[in-house]
Formats: sequence, structure tokens, C-alpha cells
Amino acid sequence: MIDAASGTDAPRGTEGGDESVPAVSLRGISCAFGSTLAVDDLHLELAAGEFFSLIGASGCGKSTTLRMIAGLQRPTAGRIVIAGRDVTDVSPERREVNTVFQHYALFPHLNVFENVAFGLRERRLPKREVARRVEDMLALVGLEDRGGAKIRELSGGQQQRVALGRSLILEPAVLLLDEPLGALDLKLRRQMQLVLKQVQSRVGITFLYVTHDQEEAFAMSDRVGVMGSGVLAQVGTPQEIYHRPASPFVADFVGASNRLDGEVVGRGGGGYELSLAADGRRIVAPGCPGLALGARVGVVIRPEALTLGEGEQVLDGTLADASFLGSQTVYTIEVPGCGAVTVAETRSNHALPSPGEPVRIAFAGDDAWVVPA
Amino acid sequence: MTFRLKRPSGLAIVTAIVLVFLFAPIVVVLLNAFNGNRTLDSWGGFTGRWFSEAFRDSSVRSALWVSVRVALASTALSLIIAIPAALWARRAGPRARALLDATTYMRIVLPEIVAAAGLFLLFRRAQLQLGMAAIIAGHVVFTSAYATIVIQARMATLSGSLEEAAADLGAVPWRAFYRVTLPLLRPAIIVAGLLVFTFSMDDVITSAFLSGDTVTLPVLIFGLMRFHVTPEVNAIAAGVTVLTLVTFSLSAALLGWRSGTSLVVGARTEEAE
Repeated sequence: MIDAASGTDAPRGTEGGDESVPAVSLRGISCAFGSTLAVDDLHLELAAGEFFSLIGASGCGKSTTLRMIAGLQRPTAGRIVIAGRDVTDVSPERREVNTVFQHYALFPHLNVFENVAFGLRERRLPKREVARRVEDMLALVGLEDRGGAKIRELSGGQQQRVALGRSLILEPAVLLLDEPLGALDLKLRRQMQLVLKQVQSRVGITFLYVTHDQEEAFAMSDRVGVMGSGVLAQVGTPQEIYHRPASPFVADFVGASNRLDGEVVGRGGGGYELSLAADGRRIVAPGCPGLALGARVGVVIRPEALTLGEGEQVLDGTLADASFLGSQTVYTIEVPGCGAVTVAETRSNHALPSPGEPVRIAFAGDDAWVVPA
Repeated sequence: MTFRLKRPSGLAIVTAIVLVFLFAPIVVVLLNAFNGNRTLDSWGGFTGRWFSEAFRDSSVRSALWVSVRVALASTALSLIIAIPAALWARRAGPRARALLDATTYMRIVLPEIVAAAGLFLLFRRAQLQLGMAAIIAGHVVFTSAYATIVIQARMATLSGSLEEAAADLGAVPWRAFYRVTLPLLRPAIIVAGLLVFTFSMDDVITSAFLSGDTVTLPVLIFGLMRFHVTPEVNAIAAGVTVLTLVTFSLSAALLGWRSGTSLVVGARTEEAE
């Protein structure tokens, strides 16, 4: 398991708060339901003003992590520190955290204005100030004229904005978003991603975003954490996660990938020297640090890094299937000893081969990435 | 195009018979309340005399006042029991929940006469005084069960995430209850209240067993009818019917017509999200 606190690129800081104090610091938190560990010894630090996404399949523990930060679920071990204050034993209403719930959880008996004003009224702010701040917030989320509307009169996207405004107005140290776009259709999702990103950079509040959709996470986040079976498998920028996965699990989860088996036979020249299990071919490729000589490894190559034809490194196989998808053509090629390899070409200068034909796949060693097997 | 008179279907005929069967007695009572013929053998012309006679009768007036007070107290106590019971049921474990459900349904299923006789014996054994307090206690035994079921049903449609959202937005538990749970339960609480009020208002068995010297209106009517049905009884019954209808319409109007309908129909759709 990787300690996220040592995560690489320093995240972009904004006016959102004191940058030296992490907005959230999770120190080895675990959560067990009966005998199952939903979250297992998770360490993570979020810088102030950062847009961080937790991605993982459903049931991987990402929502439980969020609920523990919000105070709706007690961790069975570990400490939670928000903006420098240990809140592990603090009830949700006293935490500097607000949540955009998966199904919004808007109050159906209140109108849009009253929903957004809910938290401010709990703080007993003067009426006039509440009104002013709610109007400002409605403008920020693009619902200026809908203050008097009933919740059930709103579209899904508008409800989403109300939920966002209702939480943001309290200016939390961190805003938790639990699959907030899950209920929206694809087009609206893309649109709301932009809204979220814009709002976040405008207010400078730390966002912790949970989703199972890696594209969504990549499009919005400064950093991404990949979770599986309650464990944080890797933390890094979207580029790092995509091009330099720390494990076969991450490589598989994040986008399509091909994996070739091999063995480390040497080091140097900007990476590892490998012998491919399929045909004993030697290639040189970069990879995760610390792999020992003789270690069994996987070589991850993204479909778009492969082309048909001649190149620095080649694999020979038989074409099983070719599908033209418009922006790209996807080939499935049977390579003896490697199984099916997927090639995605965006521009091809050759005729479409037909299934059964022998083809040669080419790639550059730099585009491959070595992970522990 | 051909036009023909639609012959009533079998279903329509059955429906009509059932409706007549249900409502004819009420109509007869209402008509006889205005029947000028004291023996009620035949229609003796329209009169409002029985109403004034019934109202001038001090025993009727005091019985009505007793009934209203008993019904109001039963309603208040039933809600005080039912709301926390429903709140607790949601958080309770499956076993505790089963226990609560069992005691709730038991109070409804148990024949009223058994509960009434049991309470009567208990009160006598404990040397407790029969009377209004005893009647209220007897009513609450079963009316609170009905109230619990109505409120629990509504509670089941509310998502727990609304309370979590309230807590998340800074509301301490009782504020979350006051600002979110209670308003959402309001239609069910009003329905439960009306139900309990009506049940208590027209209860005879429990009231008769536990009344002592205190006489509620239904017990009084029952006593009057032992000999023969007098026009005053019809007038009292008509009055109570009108009172009930007025109460219900008033609460519907107070809720606003929209939520008045949602009182019965919309309670579920409102929570659809």
C-alpha cells in the first residue's frame, strides 16, 4: 500500500485556506462492518484548495471513507484531522465538512432558497445576511431565478446545483461529493463536470470527489486516488496514474490496457531490461521503482500506444477482429503466448486488414510500463 | 355512429347496493333528526325541535363535553407515544423492531371487550378510580397503536439521508428532527390525530366499562336507546356527524387544499425522489 501523504506533484494551492495545513488528513483509518474490512488502514492528505478524486469500483470503500470524514460513520481505527483539528470523535454537525449526497438528499418540504439557507439558519445568522449570501450562492450555481421553486419542480441537473450550493454556502474546509453526477445522463454529466470544476476554482474550497468513472475523475482532478477492496492502491496526478500505474490493478482499472508477462533481466538505459515470456524477446522499458533482478513482472501498454506495422519493438500475431469506431479503429490481435492484445489507432495509413491475416504490432519501449506481476 | 343507453354493468349494480347499504342508515338518522313525528313511524313533517331539545338537555351537553375532552386527551397522548415509537422503530434492531410491531398489532387485534374488561378488573384490583382518566387510558391503549402504524408507514417512506443531510449542514439532532423529520411527518401526524380523535369520540365498549359515573356521549346514546330510539338520539347523532365532517374539512383547509389532498393521496409521491 502506498502512503498517499508522499504523493508526488504538489497540488495547486488557492486562496481557499492556509496552505501549510492540510485540509484533510486521514491517519490510518479503518472501518469494519462485522468481519469485513470496508476500509483498511487508509492514509491520505489533501492540500487546501485541491480537487481530489477517489475512484474505485462499487463496494471498494470509497463511499465509506467519505462517510467517515463527514462523521456519518465511525472509523474502527485511525484518526481524522480536518484543517488541523482532530475530529475523529466529533459529531457531523460540528465538523467543518459538508457533503453533496449521491441522491442529493434535498429537503422536499423546503423550496430552493430555504434548502440553500438551511445551514446558515442553523448558524443563526441575521436574516438579511442569509438572504444576501443565498442569492449570491444561487447566482454562482446558476439558479438565480429559481429561489422560490419547489424541489420537485427542478430537473436533475438543477437539483444537483441546489445540493452543491446548499453545501458550499457554509464554506467548509472540505466539500465531499459522493457520486454527485451518478443520476444524470451523459450529456448533463459532461456539462456538470465543467460547472463543478469552475465553481471549485472560483471558491477555492478543497473538493473530495468520489466516483467510479475514471474519465470524470481525470477530467476534473488535480490528484486521483485509486481504491480497491478498502485499500488505497495509488495516489497521483491523472497522468501518473494513467501512464505510470503502481500495480496491475491500477493499470486495469484506469482505462483499457494490455499486459504482457515478462521477467527482469537487467537494469539501466532508462528502465528495466526485460525478457518477454511469450517469445523471450528482450525489450527495455521504464517501470515502477524497486523491482529486483529476476522478478516476474507485467508490461503494461495502452492500446493507443500500439500501432500496426514496423517499429522499435514488435510483436507478431493474427488479427482476430477489427472495428472502425469513427475517431479510431480498434484491433484485437491474438499474439501467441500473450493472449489478446488490443490496438487502438487514431490514424492509419494502411488498408484495413481482414481477420485471420498475420499482423505485426509495433510500440516504443518508452510507452510501455513495468509493474510487479 | 350509434347511440345507445349504456346498461349498468354488474359491477355498477353491486357498487350501488354496497353504497346504499353503507349510507342508508346514516341518511335515515339524518332524516329522522328532522322528523316531526315523535314515534318515528312515519314522516311527520320537518322540524328542528329535536335539536333544541337535545341541546337543552344538560346530560347531553355534559356527555358531549366529556367526550370531546376524552378525545382530545387521547389524541395528544397517542401522538406522544406514537411519534417516538415510530422514530425509535427505524433505528431499532430487527428483534426489538419485531417486539414493537408485535405489541402494536396486539393492541389492535385483541378484541376490545377483552382489553376493556381486563382494564376494568385491573383498575378495581388496584383500587384506582374509574372515570375520565380511566377512559382516556383505555382509549390510548388501542388508539396509540393505530397512530403508531400510520406514522410508521410514513416514516418508512422517508430516506434517512435527509436527517444525515441536516446533521451535515450543522443541525444538532433535535434541530434536525424539528426542521426536517417533523415537517415531513406532519401529514401522517394529522391523519393519525384525526383517526384517534374519531375512534375515541365514538367508542362505546371501553368507555362503558371504565366510565364509573362519568358518561361519554356514545355511552349516553347507548343508554337512551335501550328503551326506544327517540328523535333526540337522531338529532345528537346528526350533530356528531356534522361535527366530524367540519373537523375534517377544517384540517384539510388549514393544510391548504394541495397538501389537504396530499394528506391522503400525495403523502407518498412527495417523497418519490
